[in-house]
Amino acid sequence: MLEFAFEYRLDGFLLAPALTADRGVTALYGPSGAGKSLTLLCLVGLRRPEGGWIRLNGRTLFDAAAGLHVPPHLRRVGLVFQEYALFPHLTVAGNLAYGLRGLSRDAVRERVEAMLRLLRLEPFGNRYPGELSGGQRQRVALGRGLIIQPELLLLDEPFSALDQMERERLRAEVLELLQGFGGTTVLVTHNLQEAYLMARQVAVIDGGRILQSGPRDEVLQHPRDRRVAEHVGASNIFQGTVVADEDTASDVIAWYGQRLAVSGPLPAPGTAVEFCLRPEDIRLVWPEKAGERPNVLRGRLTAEVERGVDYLLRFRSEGTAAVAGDIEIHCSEHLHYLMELAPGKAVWIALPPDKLHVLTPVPDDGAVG
Amino acid sequence: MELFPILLSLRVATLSTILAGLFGVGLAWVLTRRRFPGRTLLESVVVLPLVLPPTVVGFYLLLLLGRSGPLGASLEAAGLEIVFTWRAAVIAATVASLPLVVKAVQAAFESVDPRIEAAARTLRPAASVFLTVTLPLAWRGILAGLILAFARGMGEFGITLMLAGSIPGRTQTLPLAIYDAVQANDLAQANALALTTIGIVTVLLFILSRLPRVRF
Repeated sequence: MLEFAFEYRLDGFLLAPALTADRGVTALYGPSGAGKSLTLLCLVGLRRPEGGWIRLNGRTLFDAAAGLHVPPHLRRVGLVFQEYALFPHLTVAGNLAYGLRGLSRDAVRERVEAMLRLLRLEPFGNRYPGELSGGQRQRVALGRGLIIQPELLLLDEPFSALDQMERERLRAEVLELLQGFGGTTVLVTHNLQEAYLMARQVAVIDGGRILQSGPRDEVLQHPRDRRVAEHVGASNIFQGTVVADEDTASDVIAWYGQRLAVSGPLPAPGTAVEFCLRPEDIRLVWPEKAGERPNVLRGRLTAEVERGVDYLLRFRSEGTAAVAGDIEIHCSEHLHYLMELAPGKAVWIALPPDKLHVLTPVPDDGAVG
Repeated sequence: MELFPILLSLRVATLSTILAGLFGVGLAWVLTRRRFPGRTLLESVVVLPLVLPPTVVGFYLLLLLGRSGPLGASLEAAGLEIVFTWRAAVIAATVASLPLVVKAVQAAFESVDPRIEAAARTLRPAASVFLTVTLPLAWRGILAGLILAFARGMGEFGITLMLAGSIPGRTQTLPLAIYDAVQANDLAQANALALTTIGIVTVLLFILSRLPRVRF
């Protein structure tokens, strides 16, 4: 288990992440400049934070208060760089063997051969990195990190240097390789889909802080606040007020003349709330079935973007003024064809109460951490 | 043809190349990989021998290393005579070639991807990384710097004259011997020594040209 909470200052940027990551893959997901790579450099010990601590399976790797900073090569932490950073003057076998010190020549050869087999690179042991394909290089980089039998493996955007097809093949390959690895893996990515595909835990980072972490579905479906909602693609974010509903005796959200039922708990009536809804969770409803669904809105499509595999639609409710904001909807090409959707068309949509998620207010900067 | 100046110059150039190589690689590493106050000042001081007239550099070295100089006095007390000995010629050539080594090696270190060094650093201690990754990746630039340093050591004139003098059979290096021969109107001797110099330098430049991927 990896636990850390530290501060590192760089040219006016304050990196202050705090996280607990169990065995298995945790995705550190956030936009460029969020502090993802810098966090990895601090974890491996190439950068020394000014404050805080880092612990790995109970071992303290860094503790500012105690003045403790374990050098990188003694941390049992493997780091795979974005562009792999293989040693160009060493063969594949030489790259793999680089971190194996204090072992006999035979033991090193044995470990390197086993790793080459695992990476399915047996014929390439004597090749140089310059003679390998992108995917093979990446496997060597991964093997170089794994061969030292680390307790923590850090992957910095491992797929960003590859083209789309190779990327998808390699994600599966890396997942397969990681299955044999019993430690903790932290995968840095700015790609939400990749975070979801590769990791069971997701930690959303921005502005140098971890905004939320937890099981991936939890983070995607229940973003804590507006910032997380924006990062995880819950792009429909609206403001409403909690009111008591006389008919059902339960509270609802009043939103520009609509009354929206919500499955989850709501704060006391009278409270202003922000809530969000993922574009793919919105249901387009056939007009004759509109009465059977809760939270049905009637309105018009105002725009559509064809995205190859699906459509991004914008919907404006009839009842709500334009200030309420358009609602974004993802819809499959199939449904788009069936319902003969087009900009200007009048449609019914339903906002499933179990997908409407109430956000907590964003704390003021500096109030957290 | 007199052999002494040729042998002396080869010895001086070899020793000064080793010294300038050791100091130069260290200085270049500090200048490329470390950030500290006074870095720019240090860089300027290192390059000074390249831009100052050799007689000026020689003059101040003479003050520093002379018998009454701050460094010379203590060295003499330790039994080490510098000024007007062959050792002064080595120091003169070292000072003259140091900036060439530093500049070439600095460029070589800068061409090494810091991420590769960082990756190595996660696997081995810093000293091992320097020897097994940084040096091998920078060796072409380092070798080029050393060859330039050797050529400079062979040809050093001004600083050597100030610090070591031109004592035939003791401190008279190849360039000084050529000058002396011309002054004595012994053109045959001057010609023989000059052609020898050209021969040695040509061989060096040939080696230099065979080093791929190094630009000056």
